[in-house]
Amino acid sequence: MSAAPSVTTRTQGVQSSRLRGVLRSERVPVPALAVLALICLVMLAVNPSFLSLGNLSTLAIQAAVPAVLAVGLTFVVLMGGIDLSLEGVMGAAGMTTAVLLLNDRTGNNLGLWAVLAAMLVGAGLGALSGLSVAFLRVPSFIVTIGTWQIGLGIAQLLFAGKPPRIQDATFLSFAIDRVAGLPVLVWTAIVVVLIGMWIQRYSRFGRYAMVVGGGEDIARLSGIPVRRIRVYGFVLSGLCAGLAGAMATARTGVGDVGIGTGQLFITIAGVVIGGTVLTGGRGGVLHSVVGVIVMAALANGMVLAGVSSFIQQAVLGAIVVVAAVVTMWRLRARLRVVK
Amino acid sequence: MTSSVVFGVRNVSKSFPGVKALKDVSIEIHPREVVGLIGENGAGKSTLLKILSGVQRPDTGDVILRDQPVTFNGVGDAVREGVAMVYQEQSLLPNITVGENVLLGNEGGTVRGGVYRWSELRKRAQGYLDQVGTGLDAAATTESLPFAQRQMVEVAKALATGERTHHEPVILLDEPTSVLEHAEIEKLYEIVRELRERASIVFVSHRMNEVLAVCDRVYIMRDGEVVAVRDPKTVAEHELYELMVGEERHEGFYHEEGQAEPDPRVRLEISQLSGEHFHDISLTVARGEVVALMGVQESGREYLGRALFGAVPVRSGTVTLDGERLNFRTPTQAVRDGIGYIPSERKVDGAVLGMSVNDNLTLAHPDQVSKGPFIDPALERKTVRQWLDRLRVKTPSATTLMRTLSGGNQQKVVLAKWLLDPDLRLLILDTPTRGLDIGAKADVYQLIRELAGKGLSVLLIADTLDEGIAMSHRVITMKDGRITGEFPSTPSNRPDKADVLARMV
Amino acid sequence: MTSLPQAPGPAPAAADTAGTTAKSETSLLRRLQDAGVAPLLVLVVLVAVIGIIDHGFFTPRSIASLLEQSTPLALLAIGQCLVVLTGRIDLSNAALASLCGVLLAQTLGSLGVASVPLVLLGGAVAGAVIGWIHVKAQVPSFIVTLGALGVWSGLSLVLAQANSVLVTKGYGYVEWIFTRRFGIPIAFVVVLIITVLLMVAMRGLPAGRQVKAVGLNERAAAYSGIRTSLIVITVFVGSGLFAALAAVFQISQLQSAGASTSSSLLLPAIAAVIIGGTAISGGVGGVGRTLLGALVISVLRVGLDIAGVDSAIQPILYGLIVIFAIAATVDRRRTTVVA
Repeated sequence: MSAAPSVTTRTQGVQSSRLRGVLRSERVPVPALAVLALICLVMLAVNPSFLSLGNLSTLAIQAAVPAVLAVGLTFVVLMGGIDLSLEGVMGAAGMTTAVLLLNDRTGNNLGLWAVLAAMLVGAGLGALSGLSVAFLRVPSFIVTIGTWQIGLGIAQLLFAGKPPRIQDATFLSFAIDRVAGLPVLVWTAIVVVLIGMWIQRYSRFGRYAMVVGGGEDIARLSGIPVRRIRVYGFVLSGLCAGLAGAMATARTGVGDVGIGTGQLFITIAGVVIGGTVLTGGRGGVLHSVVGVIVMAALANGMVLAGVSSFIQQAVLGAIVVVAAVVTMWRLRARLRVVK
Repeated sequence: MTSSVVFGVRNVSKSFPGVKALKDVSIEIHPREVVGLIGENGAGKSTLLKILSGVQRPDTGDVILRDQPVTFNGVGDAVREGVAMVYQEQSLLPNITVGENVLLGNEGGTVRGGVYRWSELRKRAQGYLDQVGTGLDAAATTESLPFAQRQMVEVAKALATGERTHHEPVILLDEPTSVLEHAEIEKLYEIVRELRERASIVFVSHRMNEVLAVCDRVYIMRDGEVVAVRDPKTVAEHELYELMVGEERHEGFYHEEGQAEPDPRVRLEISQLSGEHFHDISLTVARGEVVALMGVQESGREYLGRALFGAVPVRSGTVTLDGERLNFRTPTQAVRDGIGYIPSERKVDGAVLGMSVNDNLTLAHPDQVSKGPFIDPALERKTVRQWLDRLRVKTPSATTLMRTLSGGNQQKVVLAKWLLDPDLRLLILDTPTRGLDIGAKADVYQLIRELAGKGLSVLLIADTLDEGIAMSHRVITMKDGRITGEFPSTPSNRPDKADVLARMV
Repeated sequence: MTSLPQAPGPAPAAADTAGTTAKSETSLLRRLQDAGVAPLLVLVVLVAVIGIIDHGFFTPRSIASLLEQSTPLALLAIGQCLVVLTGRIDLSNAALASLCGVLLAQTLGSLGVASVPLVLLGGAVAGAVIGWIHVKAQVPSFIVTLGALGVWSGLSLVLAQANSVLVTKGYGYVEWIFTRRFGIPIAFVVVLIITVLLMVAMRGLPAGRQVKAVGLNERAAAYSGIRTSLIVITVFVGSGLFAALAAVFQISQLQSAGASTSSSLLLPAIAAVIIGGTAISGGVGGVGRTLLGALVISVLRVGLDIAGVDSAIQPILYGLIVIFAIAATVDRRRTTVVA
């Protein structure tokens, strides 16, 4: 930690009202929206059915799971960390749901309590991640690789060789029945996103998460319990991943260890594209969700354009890199150390 | 003014290994008073401030708060008791609003049950912002504010922090004007005078005129002691300079007899060099010459040093070394050109603490201990041993970790790292003796003399006036990024410290 | 001037504390770690335990088999070790190994023995590209390599589809690796030789020290004139090269390659690096120790099989090992902010 004094630029004094304008643009993810518009334009040329009501509704369904994931991940990234365990947690939670609901393998019939159980499983894994990062001081990228695998392992154990097919009709209907044109799953995602936005704006945890990301030393000096906030962030991310796992399982109707496959890229790329920078302190839930919609639109667009799913994976990986490079480009400096 | 002591220290001493930073210091701040604290680098202001703000605890003596001795176990304790510091380094978060910054960690009733009540928070924060006269809206973003306004927000924050208790707050201002422009400085004086109505203030500064303008009393520190307290209304500026600067050091410490005449040939030539923190710099250093760069914080001298080493970008201007035009953009090239650099933050930038003494010593010029592409263990052992002996580095062995060495010995190893290169032409030293004990300092000075005597050019960003004047052939002063003066310096004719200081502040 | 207090105690600008003796501050665990003895001890203990449970374990045959099978893992771990020594991580090396495997399987027949050096070169180039992006854009290594993971996986799938590519013609070029002379597995001998050569190089070449310096204190390394960018890119080249080499070995072992052949080795390889005693933050450790760590992981795997433990437990175990091994050895003297 060098003691070089902070760089000061002498800008002109800014009037209050202009500040409000600036504030507003930080609140709304303008670049991501621009990219979304661009994608829509391109798809109009390639395959206009992209903008059909049927496809938009499919898009909404496809964006629902990563959107929920993004809500939780946003808080972790705001604090300068990362959660790579999403797919593993989804697997464990999805399998928990499948096993606890009425299914063709076990004798359970917990109804919707199974979803709660799934979320608790996610929260538990999140707590493991959070405690390890905050108190054991292990870097988050490595801890969450660990919990990723732990989640997959738990899913595998619950899987026990035979896929449990869900027979609970109510649960399965969430993916199919429509309310006001959209399936319950999509509404769930919308509610979660709104809750996430509320947390970010109005809750102490949400504000302190922003503060920790903006400057951990300053936060500590102001008496903010940084470690506790970190743990809460990962627990929230786990909760969301748990819910996402249950939601994805509702769509397939079967317990699947790999239910989360591919979601990590979409979610991380979405979070980064939306403007929630990996170094923390910037962006937010709304930003991340818009970014996720962009990614879902891209994935959807690729399918409509006839791109094979294998190439899609490569493209998504490349986008993660490009998005990160673009959003972090202006932070570059000589002798700056980034690991 | 009553005689009650709202805040202060009594007979406080603080030592670090080998260095007595504070010797039996006592200062008192009375209610609703602005007390100034001045002294040059190394006088102990920094350490005293750390004790006042709770970062450090004194070895002996007491911190007094409202006439009672009190113990601060960290900044949190001080803050809870209503002692707030405005740091020179920004302590505002750029990514939240001004209002949130002002009340950070101190939201009180504006956050109930974990839920933010924004209108209340804004109102309360606005109250502080208005008291300080910032003219800012609590909902403004912090990031786009110019430095002066951020400084004012910091003062508002300090006020909010200070008012946590029911007593009047104590506010510590650490060099608050160092980056402000004239109109902004006037504004700050107004704020300080306003604040005096309801708080007690400690104002630390290098700048004489400011301290005189706004303080009720001024303490002058030198060499870890309080040498005088004066009333600005009755004291003359030049008396303050003299008190700050004191008598000369004892003979021999700077090995002045070893100061040789430099070669007339110019080695380093800087012409109109400009970068972010320095402008239009032109100077020369001859072979075997030691040039001292003097300046206070934000004078830009550290950045100039770094720029010459390729660590900081340069916008325009040229640098030539022995006639060749230098065009380096990384330290690697600077090293190849025969330049060495010792950064001011030794532990962070200068030494790799987790590696051995041996590895640190050979870090910059491994080719000097190699045969072909491979390191020759026998040659390495011999070379390292030679340098350790020559510099009298105290270490159990060459393989002990750098971390276990004392500061002085670490610095010697860092210096030796550059000396391995027989073609070393220029050495840039950024406050190389800061934090070293007397013996280590003397060793470093002697070494610099020897090296200069053999033809090495040295650019010394000196820690204290004494050091800069005694060690150099020429003293160059910088202020606000520009060169403001040049003084030749020979053993028989040293420049007057007060003169030099005047060009720095 | 005072800077923000980072922690209670002397701030850097003040006189620093006198040398703290290393011995009094370090625990027994740390001293064992520093000496590189810990993984050896663990290995001995594991081998002893398993040997007691299953006497058949100690036959030359089964030991040779164990050594052989540990080689792909060991190679990936060694490549990872180089990257971790600089404080970075390579999440894509296992996926790159899969890709190289598929490429090699498809070209061994047509290009003959030349395909091997070509694939090795390809791996090295892939590593160089990743390293270059990370260094130039100053984007954290975990995100660049995460994206690369997606790209390599996607490409593998595109080339191999969902199948395994069987090597028929040309297999002879690599078959010899997985044979034994006088009961000694050639594969392990090759890996051992490579490891020793690498150890000698790291000890004897200045670059070896520079790698560690970059891991311990990159700024100080840069201020000493070290070309830190080149060092970082080089270790990623090494990682890519070893990933390709691991692919060669896997083809020799399995005579086939699929898109996910090597992918499951990512976490075990990281675990091997950690167990071997290389700090995740960099600067401490080495390839010799990593080889020992790889052996520990392999023995662990065998031991779990012998004990009849569900294979689903393995990822859970590796995850926990990684988290807690790092936690136990995290160097609290280095005050880097962990997020």
